[in-house]
Amino acid sequence: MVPSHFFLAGSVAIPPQCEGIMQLHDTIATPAPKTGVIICQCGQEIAGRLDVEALQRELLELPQVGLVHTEPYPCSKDGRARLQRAIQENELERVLVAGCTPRLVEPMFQASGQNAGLRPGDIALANIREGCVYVHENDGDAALERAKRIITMGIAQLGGVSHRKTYTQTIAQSAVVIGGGIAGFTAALTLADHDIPVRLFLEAEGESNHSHRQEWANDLLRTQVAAVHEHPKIRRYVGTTITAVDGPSGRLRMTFEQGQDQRSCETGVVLLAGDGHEKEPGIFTAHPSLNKLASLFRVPQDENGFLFEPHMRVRPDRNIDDGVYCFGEAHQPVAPDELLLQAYVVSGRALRFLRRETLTRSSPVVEVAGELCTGCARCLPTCPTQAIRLEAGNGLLRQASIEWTRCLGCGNCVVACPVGCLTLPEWEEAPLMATIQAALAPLPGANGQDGNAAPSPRILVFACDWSAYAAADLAGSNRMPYAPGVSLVRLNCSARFTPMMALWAFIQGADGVLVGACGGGDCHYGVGSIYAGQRVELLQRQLTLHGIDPRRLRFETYCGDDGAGFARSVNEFAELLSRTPPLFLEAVASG
Amino acid sequence: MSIQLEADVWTVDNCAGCGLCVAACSKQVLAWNGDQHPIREERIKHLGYTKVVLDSCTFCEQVCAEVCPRLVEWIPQPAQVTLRARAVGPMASGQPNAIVRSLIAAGLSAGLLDGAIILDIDPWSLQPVARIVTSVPEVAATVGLQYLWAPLLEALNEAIFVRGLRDLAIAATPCAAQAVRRLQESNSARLRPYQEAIKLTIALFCTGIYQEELVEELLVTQSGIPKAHVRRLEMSAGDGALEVTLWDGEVRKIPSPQVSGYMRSGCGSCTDYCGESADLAVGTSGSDQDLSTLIIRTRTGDIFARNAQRMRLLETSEMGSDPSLAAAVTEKRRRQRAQAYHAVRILSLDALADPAGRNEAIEKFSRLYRMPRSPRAGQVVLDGCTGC
Repeated sequence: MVPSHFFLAGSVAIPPQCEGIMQLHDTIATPAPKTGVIICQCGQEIAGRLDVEALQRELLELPQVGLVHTEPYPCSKDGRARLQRAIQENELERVLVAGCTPRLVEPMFQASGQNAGLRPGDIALANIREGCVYVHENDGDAALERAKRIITMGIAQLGGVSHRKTYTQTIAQSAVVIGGGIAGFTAALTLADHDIPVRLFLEAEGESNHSHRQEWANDLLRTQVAAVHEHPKIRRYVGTTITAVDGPSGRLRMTFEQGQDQRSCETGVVLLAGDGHEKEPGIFTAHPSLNKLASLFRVPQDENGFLFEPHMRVRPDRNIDDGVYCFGEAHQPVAPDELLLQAYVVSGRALRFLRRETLTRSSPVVEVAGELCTGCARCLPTCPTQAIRLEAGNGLLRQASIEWTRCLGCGNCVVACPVGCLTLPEWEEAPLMATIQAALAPLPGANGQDGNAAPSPRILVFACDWSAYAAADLAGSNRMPYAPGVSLVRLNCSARFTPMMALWAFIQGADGVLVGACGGGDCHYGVGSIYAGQRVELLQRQLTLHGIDPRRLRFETYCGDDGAGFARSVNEFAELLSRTPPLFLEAVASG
Repeated sequence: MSIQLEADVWTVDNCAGCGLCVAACSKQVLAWNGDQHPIREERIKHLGYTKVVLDSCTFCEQVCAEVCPRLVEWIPQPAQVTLRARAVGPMASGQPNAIVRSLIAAGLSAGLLDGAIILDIDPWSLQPVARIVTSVPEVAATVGLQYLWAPLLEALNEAIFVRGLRDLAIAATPCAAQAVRRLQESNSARLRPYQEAIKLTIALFCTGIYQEELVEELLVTQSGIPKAHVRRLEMSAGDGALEVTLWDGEVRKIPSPQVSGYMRSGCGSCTDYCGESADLAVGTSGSDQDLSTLIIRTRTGDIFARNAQRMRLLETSEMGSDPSLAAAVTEKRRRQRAQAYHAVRILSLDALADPAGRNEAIEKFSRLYRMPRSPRAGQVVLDGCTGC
């Protein structure tokens, strides 16, 4: 009888059709890029705690390393000039600067590299100061071992890096104001007076539902209604329904219905002035139309239905889309003098945005490999700014596309994709996996022999740049020692952590894995740390189901200024792991 | 037992949502709670002041794992005949759901079927439901599958054990047909009533269906359309937009980008776009407005198709060559990639417990993730442990 199926689960061979696909992706043996290593002595900070000559000697033995220089202060002006010369004279393809933390100097060295013809992703930093010599204040041997390991990790990362693209786009020189009242009219008139054509969307002709307690406000409103009618640069749309908003920030495309017609327009900025709703005297509620506006323009609503900006502390009145502003009674019920003030402030901001004339992005933006996308839409809900949409492809399946103006570069979608068709340049999967492998593999020893493996217990910390990595740096600066077996893998956001990284680490010999993230609502990208926490929980459950103690995998939240907390938590983890048998024996014991 | 389902299907986001495990569970301890996969019921025993969580799922004949379509890799049933088709007679239409209705109505009229389970939209709640129909007027009243998800096969228990139906047709998505195909191949005595009762499977072409929350969230909250105003909900097959027909005649369309975000995550790894495990498959891929594509894959399917033609409820014609059906074949590879990643993940989890499998896992992992070759790749350091 012809079999209809074969089993997929369990430790059985990968099914034939999957084998074929994997062969497609066999690594082609490319020559490793020529890498130069600059060891920073940092005056005596590093050189006084570490045998820099020995380090230089041992690094020269690595095959990919083309040259190893030592520099007292590579960050100085002539240090950087020497770096550029070294790149050009030796035709280096990659540079690793082993010195202080990338959080201090990465952009600077990347700029130097660019001046010498390299791209930002070709330069990497190996943190051997805060992450190594400061941690092993009095133990030069341990510092040397750890420094070698950190540098080997950096070289592995540089082996497979991809590069960010630069995106630019012009900003449409027009504005849309939705909502009337003092706020909306003032904004519309201000922008129009500055030569920006304004489309003003009003619910009703006249201002029957607006009556302020103060006479001057009502007088002002009356004159404004007349002015708005007459201004040559203002076009009014009364009683229209906006049905869709798409397109990039700075060139938003709005589709709206006017009676039977469907029209669309492009606009550079959108000002949501909104209308308050005086249900009873003195009691204002959010107008019901705000629900629709909130979903169309991707603006959050508070529990009363008013619109508000995502980061009120850090970026007041800036929303997900650059160029979308909410103020006035759409934002909260306020007195008319406050409405006037807000309108002027927001008009000023809108004008400043418009006058930039172009939007540019040069930090990494997620890219889609269209031919691999399966249209499964798992990435869509993970994006904090709704930058992903599915569009019709050539065949049956839809394909994802990323709106770069909204992409924050957190990488949450990259992890959610089941086929790896989304990539975040400079935070790609392969280099990160290679870094993990290098952290746990035996160091290259003399004469091609294997050197030491990382000391037990081997802990891999996936450190979010904003929380755990910053805390680790601070622990180092404050000379707080932590376990020698700890290796830090820097991530742009904890959302970039994929469970496969933890599995890879365990397979390579890690005893424990720690994911360090921002706490609660502090995630720089909005919700990344929450996803990271859920992924860790799920993986812990999977580990349990496969007979592995889930306590080997931890999720911890850190504040970037809590160095002591970081040192304490990894030391506690190391202490716990040192009392447990190695991972490999565990399953044998548990049967 | 359901531990295997949890480890290999639920926690890796691979559940199709067919509902057969929930229906077949010998102790009825599986249920849906709003997640994308069933959960095991938790029973708590109180002993004095302590609470013990009982494992409600314990050793049984593992019927849930016997029937889960996601635990196996399917070999497609080739198409015997591919035709252009149209429903004719009182419910004339070229739409796939009309053809499904014709096939079932004809089967009921000829006595080949005594009932059918169809995915339908409840006109009151606007939620997708599994509808059991036993007469032609009931068939005519259904809207059919609108690519909104409900676990169809859960209705089997009511159909078979409560209503006593013995000749059932199942009309749903390809995953339900896969589940039934798995069911038919089982030797378990407990599953025999199901095996004997299901006579026909019809699958609609599908690349993924949407969660039912989208009705509440997109329709009511965002678009402000109260449910009472809605006469009909339909997913327009071509562009994936949700078409809403109101009682006053107005037709509104909620565009695809908003709808896409609600796709069930378990659909992402399914490569069966054209109902390859069903007796009959119907869809609009590769046909124009007034006709659909009908694929007959088995002798049973052939019998029912001919029956519908004899009853003058179905008209078929020759099918020319078709590029989108060809696309369905080539695009299978994309979702198979998802299965490769899934397989490596399971392999890696298993390798943690099995030192011998570790090197194989490392090798496959390196290839799939395209890691640059390192001289030390594939070697694992064991601190004195020989893995013996």
